[in-house]
Amino acid sequence: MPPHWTLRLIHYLYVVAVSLLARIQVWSRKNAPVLNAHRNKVPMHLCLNLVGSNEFTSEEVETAFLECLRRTAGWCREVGIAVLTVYDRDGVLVWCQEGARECISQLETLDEDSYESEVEYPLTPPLSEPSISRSQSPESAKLHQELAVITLKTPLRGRMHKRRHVAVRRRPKRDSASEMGNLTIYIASRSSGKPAIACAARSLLKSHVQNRGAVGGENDVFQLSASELGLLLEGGFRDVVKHC
Amino acid sequence: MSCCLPWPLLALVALIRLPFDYARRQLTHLLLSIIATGPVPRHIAFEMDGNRRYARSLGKEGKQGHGDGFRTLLRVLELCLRLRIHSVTVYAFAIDNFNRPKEEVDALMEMAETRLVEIAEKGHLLDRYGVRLNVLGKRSLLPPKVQVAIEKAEYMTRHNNAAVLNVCAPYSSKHEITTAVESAVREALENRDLDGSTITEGTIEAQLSTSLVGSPPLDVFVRTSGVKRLSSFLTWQCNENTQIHMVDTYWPDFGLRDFIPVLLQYQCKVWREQGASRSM
Repeated sequence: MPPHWTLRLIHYLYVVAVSLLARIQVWSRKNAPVLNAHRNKVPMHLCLNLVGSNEFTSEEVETAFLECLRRTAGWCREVGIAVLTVYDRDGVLVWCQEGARECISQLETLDEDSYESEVEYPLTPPLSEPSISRSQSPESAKLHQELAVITLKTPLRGRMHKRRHVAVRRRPKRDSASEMGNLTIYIASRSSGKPAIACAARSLLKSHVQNRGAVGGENDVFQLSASELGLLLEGGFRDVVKHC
Repeated sequence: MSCCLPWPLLALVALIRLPFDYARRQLTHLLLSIIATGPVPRHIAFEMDGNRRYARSLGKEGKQGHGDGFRTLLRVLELCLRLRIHSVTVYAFAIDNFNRPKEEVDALMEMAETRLVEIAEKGHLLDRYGVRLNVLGKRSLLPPKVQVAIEKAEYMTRHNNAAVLNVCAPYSSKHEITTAVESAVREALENRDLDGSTITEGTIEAQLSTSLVGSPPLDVFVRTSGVKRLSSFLTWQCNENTQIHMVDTYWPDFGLRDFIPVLLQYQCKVWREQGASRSM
């Protein structure tokens, strides 16, 4: 049923009012402080939700998302945000994880000119395959693999000495009393959400059946607490949970 | 001001206001019926935040704001029912709210005990509009008297089927999702599905408390008081298609002026989607 003409009129007036309000807000908006301005509070964890458009090809969307990732990661490093989660529903960034790591590497390359060099053996293995949260057991390792969350780490700008997997230590020129810190980037998609919870439920079922069979408790009623489920889903992301 | 005037003057003021109040009510009803000619949400959720700050802004104690908040709930619920919105879900009390001062928690429990039964009685709002009341959450945490009152109110409205009011108390999404996962696993075990192949997003969603009481997917989520977070309210249900509105008004002040833009934006969204599907 088409809308009544009075409803159309109300919508028209509403659009006019909202447009006027938006213009007034733009005119009266103060300039945002620069990136490296002092801030009393900085979020520990920022999440960016990227939405593509059907008007563009998939390659154009991928390029645009990677550019968003690169810029946002750069800003986070500058401001001191410790954790960045980048989400896109269809998993565009998950599928082009090589491109994502390349973007992050480019950020570190841009910082090279700011540092003096000194050789040091790396304390941690080089970045290789997309890292998955540390697993507590074979079951949680399998579960985390199906969470489809990719983890990348890059040093916060000016906050720690540079490390590369060719073992070169660089000392920042400007601030010798700098803090140690990494920007952790999680790349997630829809698969990391509700499907992951369904996957966790299946794992819990199998684990219960196994344990029940082992101790002969066929009539044991399955019980689950919020903390158990939380540990299964977020156990590898403890730092994220703490900071959220 | 009203407490300073003598009663004859008060009566005169009320008499003068009568036609204006009547006209305002009629205009409200007219506006709602015009809006109802377009698409309306099937399921809307309100996170009723800001009662205490509202009370403190008026110089009262924080806990006194909950009474005003309850009156606003009835007012907004009536607006929704006039628009023929099928399901209204409200966040009345979080599991974490038990950490608030004992006085405040006791006042809220007392209010729950009396008001729920009051609105379910014959002639009152739920009865007039045929609304079924469901109280969702971890009831075992509530005092026994409140649990009895809830069961009584739910029983009184059990035959109503025109609309549904879900009152979440005490509630948290973590608890709801955990319970849903637990139920899905138990169901699979009962059906001898030992590898979990029948456990999907859909089977877990069917075990959520809003699904179990027959509420459709959530179309609109409104949080008042300017706070921009979900605070563990309906985090599963706030899915890809839910419009989320963060309104600056405190809940006791929430009214038609804040609600109309929410409805208009919902209608724009639906028309846009209909236009897009027609052009495909």
